[in-house]
Amino acid sequence: MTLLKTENLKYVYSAGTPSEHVALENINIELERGELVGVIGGTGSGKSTLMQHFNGLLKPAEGKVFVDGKDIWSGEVALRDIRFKVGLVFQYPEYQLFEDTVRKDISYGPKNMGIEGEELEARVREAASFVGISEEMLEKSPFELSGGEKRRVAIAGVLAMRPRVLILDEPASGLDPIGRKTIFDGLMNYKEKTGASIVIISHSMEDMAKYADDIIVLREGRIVLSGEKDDIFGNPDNLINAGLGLPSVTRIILMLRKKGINIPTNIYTAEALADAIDKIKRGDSL
Amino acid sequence: MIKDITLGQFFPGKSILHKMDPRIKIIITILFIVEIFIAKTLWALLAISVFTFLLIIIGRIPLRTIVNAIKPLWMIILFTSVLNVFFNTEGKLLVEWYFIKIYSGGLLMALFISVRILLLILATSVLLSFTTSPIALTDGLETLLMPLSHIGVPVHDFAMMLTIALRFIPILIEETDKIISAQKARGADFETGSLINKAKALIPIFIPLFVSSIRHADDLATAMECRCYTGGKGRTRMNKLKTKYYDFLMLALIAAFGAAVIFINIYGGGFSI
Repeated sequence: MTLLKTENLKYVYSAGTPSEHVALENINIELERGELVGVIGGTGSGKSTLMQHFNGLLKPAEGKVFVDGKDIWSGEVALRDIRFKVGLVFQYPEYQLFEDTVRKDISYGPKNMGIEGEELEARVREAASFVGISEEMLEKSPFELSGGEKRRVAIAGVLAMRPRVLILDEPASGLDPIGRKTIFDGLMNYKEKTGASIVIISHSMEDMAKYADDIIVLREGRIVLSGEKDDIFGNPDNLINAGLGLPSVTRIILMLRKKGINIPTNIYTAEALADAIDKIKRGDSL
Repeated sequence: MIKDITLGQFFPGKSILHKMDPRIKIIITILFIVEIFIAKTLWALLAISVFTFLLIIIGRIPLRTIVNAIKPLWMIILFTSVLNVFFNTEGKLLVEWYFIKIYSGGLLMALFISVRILLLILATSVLLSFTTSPIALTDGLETLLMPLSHIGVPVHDFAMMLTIALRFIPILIEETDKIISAQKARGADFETGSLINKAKALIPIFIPLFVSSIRHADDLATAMECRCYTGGKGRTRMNKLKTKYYDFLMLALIAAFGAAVIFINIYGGGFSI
């Protein structure tokens, strides 16, 4: 079932002025239930502009956005309800924390939905547990936490609304490997448990190769590549033509294949690659 | 959104007004403001209006920018005009209708004040904010006020604070936009509800904004210290302010115009206040 769909989306910045600039053009995306889509693109490719269309923060100049099959700009649906269905986590979301305790901050979204009492408490606990926020952290002030902890609190604040589609802009940028893993594991867990769809915007090839099902590559406001992960990373030339690098694991695989060692390209983690190399060394067939 | 504010914004260009020494520009702006207030007859006011219009042409400021700059003033102009028309009791009684009495002096005063407010904003915008970059402006201000440092006024520090404050306006505007979007994504509602609720809805914007301003200030202080900033003492400049012939020409022109305004005041006749 299609949860989120865009049709010929176009967006123009500063329309009608000398600095007019087409940020997005001809964007067609369909997001199925329970799918994780990675949007990759360099700086200025329109990634962050695109994501603000998904929950109606930006109004497209042309084209349509459908959530649950309904055109969100038709006037028949309330944009505020769309924002509860499509949760959006901006880049560096820790800068939006404002309450005096972590618990209150996570409650802000669900409270705006009109949820109170036990239901609210349950949602806060659930959201906190997804991203590894302990019970005692809930009583602390968000401003005394570390950077990585703040990030997790901010993401929990959106998870607590139980959005059916979750959009995240660089959710793990600037974090250490453990922090990245905690966040991605939490997101995968949320997806498993709730059947939500997730869109992650990133320029980390490694993370996308590891976690995404489908990949969309944006360049200068247009989709230049899209498809299943294995197809995208299996054809490195296309990625290079699109002006992007390759995940380091894929680079190693390609080097090995050049030397005549036959390793499949659909391996995306260092651990799996090490296993595969081990097996070849021992002479086992893959 | 809030990004569309144009009052007090710099528009880069290559006109003489853009090239002038900011110190001279500050001086002629003050002179011109004085002239606007000296003008006591309609003819003098008309002369100043024409002169302001010439300045706009010299500075090559687009009409749209001018309109945007004076648009927010209509409330103030309306308010002062209404006060003057209905409550000024000088001159001849023109209209009497129940309790409403309108005198000629009130009408004239309303016209004078409206035109003066408009000219004041237009002249300062054209001479200073539209054609002078904020950095040049604070540079000019600093050197003009330098004599005060001999009596213990920290002129350099004030100028630096002003520069930094101006520099951070666009950054904070962008940040505010971002925070508003982020809280909207969490279902924040700024439009409905009572006044108290609307005020409360702003807390999730103001607190993150304060926090990030303090963070920016902290980062900037560290960065400045890393580059050995210790205040104005012994600091040299890469771009020294230079006064050229056209600066003196403009200064002379404005001064001569001031003399002309006084002459028109005395001998020009016309309605006066």
